[in-house]
Amino acid sequence: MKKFLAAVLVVVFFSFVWVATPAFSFSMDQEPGTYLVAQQNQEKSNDKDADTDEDDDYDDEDDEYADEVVQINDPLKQFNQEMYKFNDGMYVVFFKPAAQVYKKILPEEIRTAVKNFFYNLRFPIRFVNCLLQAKGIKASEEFASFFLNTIVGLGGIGNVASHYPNLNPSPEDLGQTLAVWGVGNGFYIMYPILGPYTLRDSAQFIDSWFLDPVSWMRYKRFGGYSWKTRIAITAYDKFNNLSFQIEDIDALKKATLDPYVAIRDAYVQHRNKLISE
Amino acid sequence: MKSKYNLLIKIILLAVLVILPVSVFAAGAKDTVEAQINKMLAQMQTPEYKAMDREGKLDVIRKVINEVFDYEELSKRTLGREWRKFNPDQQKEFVSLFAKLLEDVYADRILAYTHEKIDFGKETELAKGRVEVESYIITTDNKKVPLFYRLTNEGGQWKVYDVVIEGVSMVKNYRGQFRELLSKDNPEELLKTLRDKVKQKPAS
Repeated sequence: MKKFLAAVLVVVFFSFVWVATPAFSFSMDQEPGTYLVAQQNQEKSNDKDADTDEDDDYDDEDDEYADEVVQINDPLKQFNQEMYKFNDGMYVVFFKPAAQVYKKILPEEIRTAVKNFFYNLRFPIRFVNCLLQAKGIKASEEFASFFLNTIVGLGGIGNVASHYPNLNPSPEDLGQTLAVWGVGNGFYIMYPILGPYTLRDSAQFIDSWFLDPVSWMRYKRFGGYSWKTRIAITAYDKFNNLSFQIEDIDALKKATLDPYVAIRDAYVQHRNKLISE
Repeated sequence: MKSKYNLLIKIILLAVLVILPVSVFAAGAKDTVEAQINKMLAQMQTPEYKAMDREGKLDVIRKVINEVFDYEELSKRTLGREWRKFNPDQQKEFVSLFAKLLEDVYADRILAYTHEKIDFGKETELAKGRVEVESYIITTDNKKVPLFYRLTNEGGQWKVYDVVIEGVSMVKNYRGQFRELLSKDNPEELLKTLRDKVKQKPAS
């Protein structure tokens, strides 16, 4: 009986491999994710009312000074602008000074280790979303990076994978997955403290709830920590990241004439790049 | 046997002829950017540079930036169709103010990026006479920050007309801002905003 079961298992396993392999190789050759994005772009450029226009306008042959701007619906503009002011105020009054002190106290090596640790920890989000987008190569790159950084990089504090040019792929998330599936941006939202998102990209909160190991700490098996603890951990991670970005944020504010519009535009452009990768 | 060689030579010649114009065309842009950036980085390693005060350092960097950037092209592209709403004097002032703004921002940023390494990647032709050169800033923790330069070859020399950082095109970003401002204000008021901005002391 055991032998029979083993035989069945072997057959099932190999038939699974056989069924799965063509799909996998297809996803490697064709990158259906990319294809979908390309198709989506094409549809969007045909449809002028589309939410985003990620075509590089002035790259069109004829149009010398083609002057498309990034299109994003912003029906909550009043609210968003208030939120921007609030966030900026919080940054200037509280987060920036705090991050500056933190930066002085902790050497860069330690802050980098913290950054690496949390990035490595959130591997499930990136891996699952690679799979959801049928990006086989990227999923394997994510897995290899995670494996290397966890084992060789001592639980993720060292980014060993960064020494290999093929590893460290650009991160995937549910917002990008939805985009690849053909969901548009919806509209722009500036959340208090959390910053810029679009309606579609807010799906990242679903990622955080189900796939983020910090969030798993709510389960008994992972310690059953309260939401306060979990938020504190996440906040610390974000704060640690902020300590690397102070100069960039200040330069951006200095360089822009209308920081609200500039950030909205940069957000959409950057997301479009991530989606296309 | 001989004819076989002839054929081979013909194929090679043909291949060379086909590839040559492309590579000659393409080599210019990347070489220009790479040479300028490397020149600047080398300059930043000299003891003279290191002995300079902040303003002196900024001047050195500004000089290189000014050689590389085509501010008029950049301004035209940024304003897009709004460019025609400016009269020639306003256009001229816009170019110089915008140049000043970008110069300050970039010189400041470059000043901050001293420990990082810069790698150059491939270049792609975007359209006739326009090329994108890929470069990557390698940060101290070994992350690659993609920084792409877009260049045109008007007037026989490759000049930068746009910089794309992490997928964010600078021209496009400013275009959105200027469009927003011009939807409320006229060109004169926009120039006033720019003047105030440029005069502003750098935020600490």
